[in-house]
Amino acid sequence: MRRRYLIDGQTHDVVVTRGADGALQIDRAGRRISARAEPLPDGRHRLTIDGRDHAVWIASSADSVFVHGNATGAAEVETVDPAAADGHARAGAADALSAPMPGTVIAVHVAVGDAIVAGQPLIVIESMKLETTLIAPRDGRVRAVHFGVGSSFGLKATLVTLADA
Amino acid sequence: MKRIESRIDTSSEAFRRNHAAMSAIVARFRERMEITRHRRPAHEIKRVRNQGKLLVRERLDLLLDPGTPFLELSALAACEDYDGEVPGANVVTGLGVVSGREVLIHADDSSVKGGVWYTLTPRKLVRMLDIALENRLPVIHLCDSGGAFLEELSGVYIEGGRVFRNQCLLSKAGVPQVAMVFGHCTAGGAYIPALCDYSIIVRGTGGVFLGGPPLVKAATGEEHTADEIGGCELHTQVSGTVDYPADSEAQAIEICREIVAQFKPAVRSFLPERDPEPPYYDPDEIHGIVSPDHKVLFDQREIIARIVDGSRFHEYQPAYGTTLVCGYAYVWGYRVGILANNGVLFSDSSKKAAHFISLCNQNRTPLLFLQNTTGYMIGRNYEMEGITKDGAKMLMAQAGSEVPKFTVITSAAFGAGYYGMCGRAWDPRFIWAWPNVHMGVMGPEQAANTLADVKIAQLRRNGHAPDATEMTQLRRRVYEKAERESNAYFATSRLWDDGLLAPTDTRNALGMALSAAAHAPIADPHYGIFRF
Repeated sequence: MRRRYLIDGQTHDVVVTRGADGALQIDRAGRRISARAEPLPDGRHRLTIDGRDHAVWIASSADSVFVHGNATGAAEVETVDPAAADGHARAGAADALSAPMPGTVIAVHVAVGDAIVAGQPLIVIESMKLETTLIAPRDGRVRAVHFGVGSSFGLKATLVTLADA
Repeated sequence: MKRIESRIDTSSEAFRRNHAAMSAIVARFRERMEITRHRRPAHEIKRVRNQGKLLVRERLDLLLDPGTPFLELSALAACEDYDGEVPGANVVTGLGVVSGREVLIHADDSSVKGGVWYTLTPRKLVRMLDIALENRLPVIHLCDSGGAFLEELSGVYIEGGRVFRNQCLLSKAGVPQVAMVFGHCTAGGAYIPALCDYSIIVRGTGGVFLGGPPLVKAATGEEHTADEIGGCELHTQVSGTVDYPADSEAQAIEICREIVAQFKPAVRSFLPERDPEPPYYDPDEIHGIVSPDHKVLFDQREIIARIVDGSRFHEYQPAYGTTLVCGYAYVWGYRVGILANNGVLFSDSSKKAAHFISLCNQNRTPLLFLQNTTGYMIGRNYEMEGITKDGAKMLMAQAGSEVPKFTVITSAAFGAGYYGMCGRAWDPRFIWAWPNVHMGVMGPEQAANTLADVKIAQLRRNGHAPDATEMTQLRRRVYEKAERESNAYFATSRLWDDGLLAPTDTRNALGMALSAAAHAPIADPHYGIFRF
């Protein structure tokens, strides 16, 4: 299992392999670590890493795990999905918001210079009998609105341009 | 797999407005379901009781495994026909669990006019038996019908025959069927138990005969009671037409459950691949996302996020053909390939669909179509680009699919987009619509305007120039008819779908449908000719 974790702002790429009777083998930056995790009666877990035992509390959510040990303090281990990087983001997450269909503008909700947040409605268009609200793909500022209410545009025309806040 | 990041603002004015409107639509739908299932005139209930019979819902309670879900099909069939007086077309069909086996059920409802067949009754039965054939699901028949309604004979004749033909093909395909005879099975209806692998008849009330007592008397002069001519003793001791006698309906059902337990276990063509996980986002929020006005578009990713496991979705070609969203997700642990409209279909979105459908056939992934379509793009530029032949590619790939297909209509289903996105005629294993849906060849406004223009031209030709008020009235009349005929109830009444679904029930219905579809094998992918 290839995993990317974020601990204290630093990225760690590791490969975790399961061995017999619950043993784990962790390869990280050319180093091989053998490890094991077992629950203790008091609710803690015993982590055995390269032969050394650590008793810790573990709490996990969908995306991260908190590990608390008396000696080490608390650390958050975040799981990073490498496939979820920028290249995979929704179409139109760029600065130019383009028309998914040709049509007419029926409402403009923002003006040049407005600060916007992701998900905020920017402009409403009508095309092929459909009313579509285009929303801000990210936080930022409106650099330009290229069509006013009533004007028509072609397919993929740039309707709104965004800039960094 | 990445979780969809919802962009919905649940505190926004639009969300609250939609939520209130959709909740009202869904409440109205649930009320109509409740009335169809349970509300019957007192004298009809009394008549059933006096015959010593149980009501159809009571029979189902005894038959189905306790605590298991029952997915009723086309519960509102006939709701907008016959003045709404024939609930469910006098028959209950559905997918349920009996003795641990997934089965389809046909249960006659004799509480209205003795459960006679109207034109829509055999249509509903044929659809259920088609589902049985496509998915290789065993069928249990609970027979208690007065036969064809005399005023509907011409409508029942052809499709009625298809019921029996489908029973023969099921048997040929090695799919078992059981019949319980609770009332009379007359004329064609007599073939229903006769064509089953196993049949049970209740002493006293059950009867199976090609011609009932009045018909026999008229034809041959013989006078017999129904029991003498085709009752329990005659068929289980003499003719061998029925296999098991039962002293009561409850006993018949127990015998049936024991028979079903002997069926060979299902061999499944695919299985859940992950532990199921509920959606991360609350499915109830769908009510605030979907506008009751089908002209207002919404991002179908927001719907996907409220149906699939963990709201996780692997989007395929996220930057290409963006008016169609394609990708992989899991529903109750089953991998599915989803195609969801996010606007009009263009050449690029159609080609993307054809490609994605081929991928899913190659890796044996069932397809889920989330329809919200006003059709394919029109205009000279788009024709030059090949919109028609690209749409044809999508149709060819979709129709040629060997993997199971499921369709859920979330808002609009107009024009050829309804075909491309696996509408009723394209053999989805199951197809449902939400109660807010509008559908038809064209939108009600377009239909009304076109028809009104034609009528006005007609009046003018006949030397009558309609004034403004007259024209408005005419337009309104035409619009109201078009609107009525494009709503979800009109469509479900005529069996255009397998029933209406509340948005929040969609995930569970899909889970049951996927499990059912896995009973049939999946052939290797092959298609017709793609026009390049």
